[in-house]
Amino acid sequence: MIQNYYRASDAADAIALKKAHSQAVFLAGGTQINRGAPYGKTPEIVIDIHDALSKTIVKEGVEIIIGAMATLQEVVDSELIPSALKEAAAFIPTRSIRNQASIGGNIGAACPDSYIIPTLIALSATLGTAYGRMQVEEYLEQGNKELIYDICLPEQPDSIVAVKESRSHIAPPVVSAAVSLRRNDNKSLRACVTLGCVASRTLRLREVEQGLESGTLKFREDMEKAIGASIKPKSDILGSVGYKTYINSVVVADAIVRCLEELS
Amino acid sequence: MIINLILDGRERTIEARCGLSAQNLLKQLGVNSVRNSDDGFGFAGSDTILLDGKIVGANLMIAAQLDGREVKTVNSLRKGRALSTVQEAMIEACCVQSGYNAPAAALMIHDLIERIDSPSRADVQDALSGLFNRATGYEQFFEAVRIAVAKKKNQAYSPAKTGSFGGTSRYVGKSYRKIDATKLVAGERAFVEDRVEEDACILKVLRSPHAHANIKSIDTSAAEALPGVVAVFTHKNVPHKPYGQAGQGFPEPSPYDRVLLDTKIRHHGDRVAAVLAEDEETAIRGCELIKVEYELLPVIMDWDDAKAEGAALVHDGPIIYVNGAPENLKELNREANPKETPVVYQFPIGGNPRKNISSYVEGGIGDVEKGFEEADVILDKTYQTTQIQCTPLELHTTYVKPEGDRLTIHASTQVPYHLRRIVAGQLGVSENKIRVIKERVGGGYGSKQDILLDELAAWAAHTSARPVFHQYTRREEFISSSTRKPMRVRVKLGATREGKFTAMQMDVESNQGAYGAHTLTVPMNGVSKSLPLFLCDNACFTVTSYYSNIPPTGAYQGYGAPKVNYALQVAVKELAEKLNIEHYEFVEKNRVRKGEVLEILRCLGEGREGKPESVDSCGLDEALARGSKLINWNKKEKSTHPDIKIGKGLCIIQQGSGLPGIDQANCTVKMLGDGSFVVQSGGADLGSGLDTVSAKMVAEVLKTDIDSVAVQSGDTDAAPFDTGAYASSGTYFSGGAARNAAQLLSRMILKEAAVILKTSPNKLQLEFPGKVVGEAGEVSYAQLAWQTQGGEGSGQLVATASFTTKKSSFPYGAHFAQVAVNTLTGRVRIQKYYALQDCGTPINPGYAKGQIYGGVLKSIGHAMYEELLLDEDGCCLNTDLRSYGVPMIGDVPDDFKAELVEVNDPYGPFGAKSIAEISVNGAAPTLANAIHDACGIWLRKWPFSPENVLRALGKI
Ligand SMILES: Cc1cc2nc3c(=O)[nH]c(=O)nc-3n(C[C@H](O)[C@H](O)[C@H](O)COP(=O)(O)OP(=O)(O)OC[C@H]3O[C@@H](n4cnc5c(N)ncnc54)[C@H](O)[C@@H]3O)c2cc1C
Ligand code: FES
Repeated sequence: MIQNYYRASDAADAIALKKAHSQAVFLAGGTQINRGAPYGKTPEIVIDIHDALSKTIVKEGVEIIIGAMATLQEVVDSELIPSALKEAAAFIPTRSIRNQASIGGNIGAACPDSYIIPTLIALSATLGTAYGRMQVEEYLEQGNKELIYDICLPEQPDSIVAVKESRSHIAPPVVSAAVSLRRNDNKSLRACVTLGCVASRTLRLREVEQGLESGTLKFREDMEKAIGASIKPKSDILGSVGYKTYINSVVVADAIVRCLEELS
Repeated sequence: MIINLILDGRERTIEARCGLSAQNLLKQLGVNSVRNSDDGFGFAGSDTILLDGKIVGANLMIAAQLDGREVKTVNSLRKGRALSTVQEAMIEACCVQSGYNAPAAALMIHDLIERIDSPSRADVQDALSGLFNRATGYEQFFEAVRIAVAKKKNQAYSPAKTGSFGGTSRYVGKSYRKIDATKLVAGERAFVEDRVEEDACILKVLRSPHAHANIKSIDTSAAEALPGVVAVFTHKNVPHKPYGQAGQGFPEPSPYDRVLLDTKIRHHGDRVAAVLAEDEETAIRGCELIKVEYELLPVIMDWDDAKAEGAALVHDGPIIYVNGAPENLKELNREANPKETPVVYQFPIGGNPRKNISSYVEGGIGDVEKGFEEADVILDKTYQTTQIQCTPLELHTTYVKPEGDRLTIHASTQVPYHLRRIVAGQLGVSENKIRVIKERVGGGYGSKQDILLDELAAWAAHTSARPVFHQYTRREEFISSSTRKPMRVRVKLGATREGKFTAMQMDVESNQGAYGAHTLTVPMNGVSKSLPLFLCDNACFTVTSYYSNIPPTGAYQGYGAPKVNYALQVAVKELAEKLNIEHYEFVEKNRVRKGEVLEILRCLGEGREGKPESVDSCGLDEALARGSKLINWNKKEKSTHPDIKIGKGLCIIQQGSGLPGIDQANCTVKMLGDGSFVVQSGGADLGSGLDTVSAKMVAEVLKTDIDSVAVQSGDTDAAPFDTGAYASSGTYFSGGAARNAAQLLSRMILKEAAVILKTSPNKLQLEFPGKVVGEAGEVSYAQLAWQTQGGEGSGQLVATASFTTKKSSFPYGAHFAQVAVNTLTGRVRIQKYYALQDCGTPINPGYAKGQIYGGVLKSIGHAMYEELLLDEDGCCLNTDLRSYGVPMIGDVPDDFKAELVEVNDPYGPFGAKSIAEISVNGAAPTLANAIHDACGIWLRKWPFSPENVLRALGKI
């Protein structure tokens, strides 16, 4: 139960409050923190960052800067946001949650089934934090405790596809993934294949990426096999290991094929 | 902290705990229409508000987040008494059923049409994406938006009414606004939780973490010592009087096999103890402080565990019979544990708890063995269904208030009179000491036919003399509500090469769970509402229900029929394929028709002797013909994608209209001083519009304006007895009682008018609006009331009548679907779903359609997505709506149609039959058959999830 509530006036204030209360948790939209309060344990001390961080989405040169407090609905509605990220945000099927949930909060929550994180990784997004700018993966590896000010999207990849798969429209996903391809100046390929739902956090399938980059992975069946070999999902209420391995393999391979088609 | 906000245009300041949920804060500010359906899981949307102009869920926010912000609730939509355009549109589109989250829907649609001038279907789906609504099936919300948009452009716009039935009747068969819709869509106080007063205590139940255990010791001292705890209840201080929670007519066919709090635990979530405290937090803390030592017992999960040699017994106590004890009873009880709660049968239903069998019945007609011998082709397959939650939006809730030596129970129930009887029995008081007021019910679907919490709350109120509020959490709904029983159905069919049935056999095994509610009647009804759909001289069945340690099961809309009919209808298609006969044709060759006598019903009497019934109205001819045309049955649709296969399926369905010879409904109609009327109906309106049906029937008979008919229903002090809202009895029985009372009153009116006009009653007639006319002149109801109620009058005109019948009026229907199966992912998209149903004369066509949409989408959910998952120890793994998998607006078929087939039933009031319950009987077989047509797999097990489809396709 939340006992102490602080409202930060700006980012510096938020960081100072966090220093003063090490147990405190940043409260953005609250869709994650306040969820199921009667069952789970909500944090005791929260620092409300609603007024402290920007929520604007702006274009600076080729880069797009998204304020961490931008809601997922604002991401969907913005004309500046690449369509794959809009689509990924719209995968969260509930409008009222998109209205409340912030993009910073989605990364901060670091849920393994996040719809946003794979797409941000595939877009090579970086995060602005008090410790400087860092890659999304880097942030997640560090245990995601630092305050995110903003998200920066560099120049868009040449092709990108975000995918999700769930039993019903609103059921928790069994696939949340994104694939992007960039052609370097020398025409060589840079691939990013990233997926959630199969481990405790979002993964990158480096071997699959290398296979695509080196051209050894050409056919859909081979891609499916390679993906299946590089993931180890656990069976749970959403499905068996066999199902999760199969569905991630075929859906992500399909995304790769679509990306390749877009590229050619 | 001090919170300042602008609430519905007014600046408000309130001191509150910062961590309080925003929904609770709004409640403290007097807003009741922002409700809780899922304890802040962000799923159901009953808590919708507009925050700084954006739709959000108040349960996912804390009070502090509202500080300095602008909040709008549904109160901001209404101007004085006038409803907003959106609210009016929702009423006109008939999508205000239980109405629990109608205010939330109104805010979402309001937001939508403010944002988008002409919303598309996808825009509507997006706008209502956060609204869980079990009752309506969502389809009529699309119409509500269309009407709202048209009204926004032109205030005078009035939509075309939904169909016109019932010949020249003024109200019957014509669309009319549901009489409680205004208050529901406006968010007025209408539900149990709205009646709770400041001084109410809160009751919380400590539930078992184990599925099967004995309580070795229980220490409540720390809980009792906690300041604010009023009382702690365990098996030590409650009555030890076996009872059953099934709200059925007395004597019930369900055994009495539980006590309020027991020493034995029979399912995960079973009651262990209860704490009554001054506030919720203390009650929860009190439960946490109770120390319990358990002795774990082997867990029985299903029929196979239950019948295994040496299986643990779920009910090891003595077996008692009130009537008809079997000869071997003594023998059966020889090894019973006398300390355990007994199982009391009112009369024999074939149960043998010593073998974990809670009930058993068999029956048949003709010579089945010979029938199979004569068959050219035999099909023998087994089908299985899962445990399904009712998931009403309004959690199970009760508020019990001691008043002198009486208790008033504000209940959310389908059965106010059974509730009164069961509570009185547990308290050891006579029924006159208990008054049950059925409030508006935010969805029941069967789970509110059982008395799940009122008896315990009543005991707490009775002993503490304090008002007691008791409300389930959503998690409790999952572990301790009553659910649809899992079943395993073996179907054996024999037919000649020409496609005529020679023999039909069904063996139904039902997983009853921990207690015996509806143990016999649900699976038996499954047989009696499916087998008679086909004509065959040789048919037989067995029904065996097993006690187990899964969460309790009970009644659920359809009452067994959705499962057994699924098995039968898929088997029929399987047999048709074996015979190489087209499915539609095969159904046509064998199906029931008007004029047939259903011999098989002789052996399906719900615990009593049955009798053959004749089919005196049947709309199947038209339903099948219209449905096949609508879906273009003979045309094979082509897919444009290699992985996606398209197929079509159909099935036929049947239900009853109440229980002839068992049910009874009563109704009183009173003429008031100005010639208007109050109808006091025993019927329990669950949101389906039963009160409106009663009002229509009374207005129709009395030829008066429907606005001058008010309905008060479900108050056991005020209205006469009614068995309750179950077994599809509402329109037929409760409506029938209203019609009968009005007819009796009309005769009284004629008699009194004849005295005034000095003529004979048979020279007079009633004439709209509200007068009696004849050659001798005319007299208005107002004059009549003044005459009869004056000092020299004969007394207020009041008529009470009952409705009973020996006749069955079976509603019928045909469902058709077209699906697209993605053979790569296993996902099934329902492209078309058409439900064509015969409900006799549809009394309120718009709401009749609403019932169909709601029923169909529920059963689509049951067949495709929903699954209550238990681990090997019998503990529930998914206790929230999202992971359980209820369908939302995004799951609605792309093209969804409910069509009414009018036939005039000779027995129902104004030719009406039932409509709602039958609607859940079709989706599972229709979809399974369509999926087979698309990609060749047979789905003999729910749910048709992507994983199960892929498994059947051999992909995993
Ligand atoms: C019913 C429901 C279904 C959902 N389904 C999905 C889904 O399928 N896929 C999906 O991706 N998401 C889903 N969500 C999650 C939702 O999208 C995320 O919870 C949301 O984006 C979190 O944002 P928030 O602003 O509400 O975060 P909060 O709840 O306020 O915070 C979440 C976490 O992030 C931290 N945090 C917040 N802001 C920052 C910041 N700027 N810097 C650092 N840390 C921060 C917080 O301290 C906290 O630990 C669902 C949510 C609900 C309620
Ligand atoms: S959080 Fe919205 S109704 Fe529960």
